Amino acid sequence: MARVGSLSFMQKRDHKTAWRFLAPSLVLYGLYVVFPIFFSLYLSITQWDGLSTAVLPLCKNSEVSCLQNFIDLWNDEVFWMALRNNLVWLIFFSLSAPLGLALALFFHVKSQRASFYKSLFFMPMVFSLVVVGTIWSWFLQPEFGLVEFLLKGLGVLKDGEHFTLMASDKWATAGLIAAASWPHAAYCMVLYLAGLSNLQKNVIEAAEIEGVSRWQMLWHIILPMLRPATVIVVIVTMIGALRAFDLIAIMTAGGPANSSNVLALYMYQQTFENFRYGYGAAISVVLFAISLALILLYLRQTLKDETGRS
Amino acid sequence: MKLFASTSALISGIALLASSLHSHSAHAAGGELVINSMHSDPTSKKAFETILNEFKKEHADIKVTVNTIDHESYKVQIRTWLPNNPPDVATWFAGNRAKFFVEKKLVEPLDDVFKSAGNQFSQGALSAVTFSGSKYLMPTNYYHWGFYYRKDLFQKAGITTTPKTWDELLADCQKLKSAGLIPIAIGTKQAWPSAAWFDFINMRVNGYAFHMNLLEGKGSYTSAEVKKSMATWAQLVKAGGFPETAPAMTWQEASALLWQGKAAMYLMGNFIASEIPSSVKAQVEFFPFPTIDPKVPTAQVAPTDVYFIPSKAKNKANAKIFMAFLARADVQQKYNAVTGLLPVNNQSKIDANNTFLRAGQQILGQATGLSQFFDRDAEPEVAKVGMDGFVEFMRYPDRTDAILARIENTRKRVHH
Repeated sequence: MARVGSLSFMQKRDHKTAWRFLAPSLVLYGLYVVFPIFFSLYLSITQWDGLSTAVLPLCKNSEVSCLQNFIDLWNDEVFWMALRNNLVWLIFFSLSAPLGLALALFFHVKSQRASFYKSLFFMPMVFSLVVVGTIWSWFLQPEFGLVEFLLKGLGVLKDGEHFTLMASDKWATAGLIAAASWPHAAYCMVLYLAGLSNLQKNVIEAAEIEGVSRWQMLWHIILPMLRPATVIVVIVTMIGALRAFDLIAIMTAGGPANSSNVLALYMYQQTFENFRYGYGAAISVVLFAISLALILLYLRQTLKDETGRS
Repeated sequence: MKLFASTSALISGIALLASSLHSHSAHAAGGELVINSMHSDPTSKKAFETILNEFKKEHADIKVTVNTIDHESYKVQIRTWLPNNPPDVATWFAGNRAKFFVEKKLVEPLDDVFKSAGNQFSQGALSAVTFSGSKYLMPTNYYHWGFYYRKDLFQKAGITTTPKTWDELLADCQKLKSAGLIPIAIGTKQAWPSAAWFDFINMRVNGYAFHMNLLEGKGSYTSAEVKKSMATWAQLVKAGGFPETAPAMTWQEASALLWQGKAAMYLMGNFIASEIPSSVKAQVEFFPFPTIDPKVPTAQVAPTDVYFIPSKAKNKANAKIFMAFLARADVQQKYNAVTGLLPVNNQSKIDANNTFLRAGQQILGQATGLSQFFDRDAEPEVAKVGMDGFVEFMRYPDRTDAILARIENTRKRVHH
């Protein structure tokens, strides 16, 4: 009995120590993550201008609905444009995942030269997105840019014609996603390379003895074993597409005329350029809800698959 | 570079907190003077230091503290410290951006300072610092807007005199186009350069009073008058006056078109004068925005920098001394010898060899009214929707009605 008692005492003490170690990060997490989430929720039902000291809900002492910001959002063309662009991002930005996988499979060999090229591909990952955005702005610039120069040299563009991708309200987002995929494909490559080095060799050897084709090997053996890496890749890609901000701010600022705007940037513009803190918070709540829903859905599906298998 | 704003906001926020705590404990004989400045770029910082040293020499008993905060963070932070913990003097813009604070009773009137110095400022300049009869802001410098053009390219296209009227401008654009040139450079990657066109055309078509009334939120953007302005602008857009690549260029990239001889003229503020490369300096000259309706008196765009005293300042007496100092002709002259901008005090002398400054002083002195620029005269929200609308308009001039309706909806919501 005494032993059990002392054990639970030990356990208790362990818990206390654990909490003490956790406390600093929990406090910071609460202050910088949890509190802002709830404060944004509250701000989204106000019309704070960033100046007044009292921040009251819209519907207090007035006939305006507390959800007025969300009603305004529903009627805001730019909001729908930004939402649509976020979906476009979600679809096309995901292409950097198979691209990263292809690169990883290609470079999954042990040789000095391979690691040299690997690091070349990994390079854009190291750059800050602001730098990536600036470089790509120069590439795609329609009067003096590299792409314009190359197309002129190849005779694709005639005299007086220009490479107007980034000046086009229909295509600017394509240029942005291309720029964003550059470092992101490298990131996916690294995640998959890590996955590849953890494969169970005996399974692959067994498959080789059975004489499976290369495609069967990839589809039925390697990809299922890469599943943990894929889960991470899909989640970081989804989050990346939804929170796209820096590149767009640098490369187009959402333009021409909001045609390449996304929710994160629109939220920033409404809040810190137009000083509509309440409206900006409402956009952030929508963005938060979308991200949460997508990730929960995906995680639930993944867990279901995993339990189904075991 | 707004991305850095949040970090630097935090840092300067801490700096501000420290400095305001500091000023609490002050009650020495000469007292203190705390100044918050948004002039963080090297040139205007140096200009400010020049006159600050002068002030310190004249008032050795006043302990001056300056907090310089980067421009974009300042615009956000001022909303936090102005009502709660303001400095004694702060920098800002004239016009509606200041009116917002004046109406919230956050700005101290300066009528007594202007009583002695007021006659040294033009009516146009005073109108930008006066709100419901009282003067609240001390203007130190402004700059003019107009066309910067390539003399050699005009000659090449067979144009002998600069356009004085809208029709002449349209005709010149045709000539420049036939000569294989882009008639007018513009970059709308940041939307604001498009707004200069609206400012000028609307002031030339409908007059200064109409324009200012509209931007204050009292007039309608769907009115026949505004539609007339847009139709005038559309003539130039449809005639191919602007490059199709404009939305992908910053204003600096667009100016390169002018320096490289691809474009012939550029509607810009005089801050461009310092960017002209020496290789083409001899070929670049200035002409003011042409007349559209000869019956409408000429107004100009002249963004003005000001200093003001927050109404909750702790050392108001010292702040007033500083304001009187800033009003002086010799101080404004020294200040703007460094900034390269125009002093607002009309007794200050400017560099006689600088043809751009001379032209600017002339057109601003003669102007019947000075506007501050679209995004300073209009509410930020209306300005944003407006400028995005102008960029869209310059690509799709046929969407005018839809664009104006969108601006009008925003105006109605903001100024209900």
